[in-house]
Amino acid sequence: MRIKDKLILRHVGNDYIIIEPERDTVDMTKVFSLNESAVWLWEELNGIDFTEEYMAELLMKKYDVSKERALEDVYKLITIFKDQGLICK
Amino acid sequence: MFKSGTAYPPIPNNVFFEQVIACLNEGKNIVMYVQGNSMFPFICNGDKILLAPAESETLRLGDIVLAKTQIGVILHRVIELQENLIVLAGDGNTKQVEHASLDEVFGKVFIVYRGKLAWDASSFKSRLIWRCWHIFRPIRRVLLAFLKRLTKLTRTNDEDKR
Repeated sequence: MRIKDKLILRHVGNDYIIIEPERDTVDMTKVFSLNESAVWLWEELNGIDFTEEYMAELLMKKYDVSKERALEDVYKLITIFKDQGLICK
Repeated sequence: MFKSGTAYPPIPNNVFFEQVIACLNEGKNIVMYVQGNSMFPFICNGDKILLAPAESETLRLGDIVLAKTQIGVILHRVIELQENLIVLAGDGNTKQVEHASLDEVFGKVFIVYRGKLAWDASSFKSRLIWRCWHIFRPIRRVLLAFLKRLTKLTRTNDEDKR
């Protein structure tokens, strides 16, 4: 899977909005709260194909967390990415 | 870690509008929720609107615009057009007016969404309804109190029915 191409994460105060530059309309009703690790992960995954396992490995290397904990966060994140239509296969 | 936002972004207005204006200046349309009731009854707290980049040459009386005024960035209606200046007022306000230069008008409201309803804010019909509302500005305080009471009663009835 991969994050949809050309999505831009734009900082708005302490939160973020996702902008699709090719679309004519920006939906400012969807505002995402991202912490530092989520932003970092987004930037690492942007433009590449990835799996849940790869995401978990990234988190484990960066934050020294257990595999179970990393996978738990990854599954939550993927669910949200998919619900918001940010992922393509 | 990551959660989707709510209907009302918990972001200070000036920060939020900075991004809205940036997107409008890039030629993008914006869909956003409205906070506040200064445009009651035409736009209420929680309504969703479609904003498009404003073209100063085509601004008309009755347009609802996003503009930078002496009190900050606001979404109010054009009640007077001068050569390089516009006068704005909230539909729910009785006396206050604001001023903005034409180059500080960033966007114009085209569609208002309320629940399952949607209407064209720039249509002839919308403008006509607003004109009638504007004529009664001197007694708007009374009309607003009546409408707000009616809105409250309607909401209470709907909640009782559920």
